[in-house]
Amino acid sequence: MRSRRGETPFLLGPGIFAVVHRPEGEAALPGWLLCSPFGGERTNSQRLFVSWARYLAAAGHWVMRFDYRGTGDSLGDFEAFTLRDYLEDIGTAAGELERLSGRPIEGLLGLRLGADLAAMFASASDRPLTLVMWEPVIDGGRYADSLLRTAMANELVNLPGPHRTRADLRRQLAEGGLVSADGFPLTAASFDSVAGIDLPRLGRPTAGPVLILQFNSRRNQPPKPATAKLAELYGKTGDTTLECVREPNVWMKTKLYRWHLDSAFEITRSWIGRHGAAGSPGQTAQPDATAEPATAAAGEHAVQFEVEGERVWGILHEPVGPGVDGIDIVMASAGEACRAAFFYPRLARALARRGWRVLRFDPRGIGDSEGTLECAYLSEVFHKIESGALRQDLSAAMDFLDGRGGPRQHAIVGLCGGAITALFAAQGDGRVRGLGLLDFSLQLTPEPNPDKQPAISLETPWHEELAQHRSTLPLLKVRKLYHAIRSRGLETVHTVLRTIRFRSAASLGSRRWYRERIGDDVNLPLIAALEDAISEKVPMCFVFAGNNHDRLLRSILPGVSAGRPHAESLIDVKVLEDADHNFIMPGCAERLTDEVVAWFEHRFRLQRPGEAEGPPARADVR
Amino acid sequence: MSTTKATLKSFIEESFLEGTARTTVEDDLSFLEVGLLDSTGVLELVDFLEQQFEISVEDEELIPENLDSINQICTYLESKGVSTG
Repeated sequence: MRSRRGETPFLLGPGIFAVVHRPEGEAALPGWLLCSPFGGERTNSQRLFVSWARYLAAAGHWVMRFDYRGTGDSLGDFEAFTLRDYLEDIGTAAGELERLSGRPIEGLLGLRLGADLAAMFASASDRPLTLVMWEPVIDGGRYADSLLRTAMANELVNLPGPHRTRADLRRQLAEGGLVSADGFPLTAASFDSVAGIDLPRLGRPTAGPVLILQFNSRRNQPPKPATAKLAELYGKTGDTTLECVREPNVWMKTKLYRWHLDSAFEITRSWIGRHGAAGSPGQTAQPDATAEPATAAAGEHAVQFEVEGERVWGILHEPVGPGVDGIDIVMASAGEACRAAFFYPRLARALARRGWRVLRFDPRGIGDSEGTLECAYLSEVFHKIESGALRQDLSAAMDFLDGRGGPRQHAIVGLCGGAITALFAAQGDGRVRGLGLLDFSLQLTPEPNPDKQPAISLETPWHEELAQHRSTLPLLKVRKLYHAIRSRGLETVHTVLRTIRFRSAASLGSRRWYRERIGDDVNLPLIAALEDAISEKVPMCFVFAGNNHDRLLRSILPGVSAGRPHAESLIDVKVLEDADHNFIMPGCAERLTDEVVAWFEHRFRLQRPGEAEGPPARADVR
Repeated sequence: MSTTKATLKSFIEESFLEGTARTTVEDDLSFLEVGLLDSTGVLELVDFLEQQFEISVEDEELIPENLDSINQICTYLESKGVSTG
């Protein structure tokens, strides 16, 4: 499968997920292999690498990006691998890129710890590779300590004290335990492999040219002393360039929705143009136009489909063993996070093992998918999601699954923004038969800039707002009645009757009633979607992370259930105590996975093939 | 308001209020209680304190009592020898 852009995703060798970007234009310049950062930094910078790979391919280069085993979309558990394995993966990916492009790779570009791994790989190579190091980790020991500090900060924010010290965490590792840093479980072996990195001691890694790029968030900030010293060391024995760019540290969580880093991209591309080995002797082999990636056999593979003319990417997990007949599960990405973030691969694999076909995918503007959300800040992204802007993407995902095996029914699972999109997507779509809604909020994210218009208008109509004041009520009732009948005729009788009802107190299930419970920032369209899902008898499992969100949901259940006597039987609310919003604390992803899988088993157990009864109709579910 | 307090307030407001309903931070507001800081935010705050006030935040000092409000941070900075007057 090859996308319009000439991007081919595939599973390589021992389960390494990789994407090759074929060069655009006639030049077909030599290949560059991109080496991702470690753990959470990899997740945060995923779209940065997608953006950079597309930029470099547009400049005429072959490019490959990939996930180390146990990370991203690659197979395996994070804790099963160390940097030694990552180096092997770099070798495997480099070999495949050379096979596809028909010539040796020109160089490697790595970000953060990926820059160190690129340097280590180049150091062991018998060829003078060109090397681009974006914000390399100079001292692995300090970096490993920062991972422990991340684990401590996770505890500080999410758990009641007393909190563990660095010594406690080190002891836990030494005793064979795991320490989770932002949801990535470290073992003693993986921790030691990181701590053992010492770039200055490694020495200059290649006889080829080296670019070190430092990202500064502030203008005219000088290079960090350690980075400057590394550049000085490298400069003693070869061509070395140190550049500083004013760009955000997007490998950390920032509040920006910005992945095309203009100055970093331009400086790097023009440096590659000046220093690359394109056209040099020994690199004249022609690519095999028919060469296709060496795809490994696995029960999960990359897929693509279109949403309003733009390609979106996903991973399809085929059921292991006998499938659950009739229902597929779609996992909706959480906020700006890609399909591989948090517990998503774990949950998808667990569901596939129980017989479900599962699709987890990136909506437009997220992860690998094309498009943009046209936002500058993440809070704007959240606002768009909260207004249902991505429901079309979920609908297209269900269309895609339908197209692979006839019309089917679907359940949707999503965390936070993914849950919100799931509810909106279920509204009016009879294919949706179940919803797993994980730690979502009924409140709207405030606008980042008061000068901007909100993504959707949630303003109460003037007549409803004023109708809450008794003195204006009679006049407004008459006026609204007149306008309603004039504009919409008798069909509005029901609405009109509701309006003219005397409301000294907010009536159950009214906008005002919801506002009184949730606050002025209540997401009323989302509540309407919830009401519709109940009316349509869609079973829902809400799982909350021991925060305030479950209390808010419970407070409105009488409202959304009013006039819907079956509501109670459709809604399951679970709370995972001591869990955090993204379920990254130790054991949370496992507990969440167990809860969700158990709920699906319980709700849809009748649909396993071989059992006596067929699939339940919507109204038949418990 | 002291310079230190103003510097802290400005950093907190610039770094952590985006996407929240707040426009300002009171001196005794608990960051953790209102969800202003996540774990990345804690590390960002520590990094800021270390660079801005040229101190080293030790592991055992990474506790809410030191970092959970502007007032608590000021008290903590004083204990590290930083003048907050």
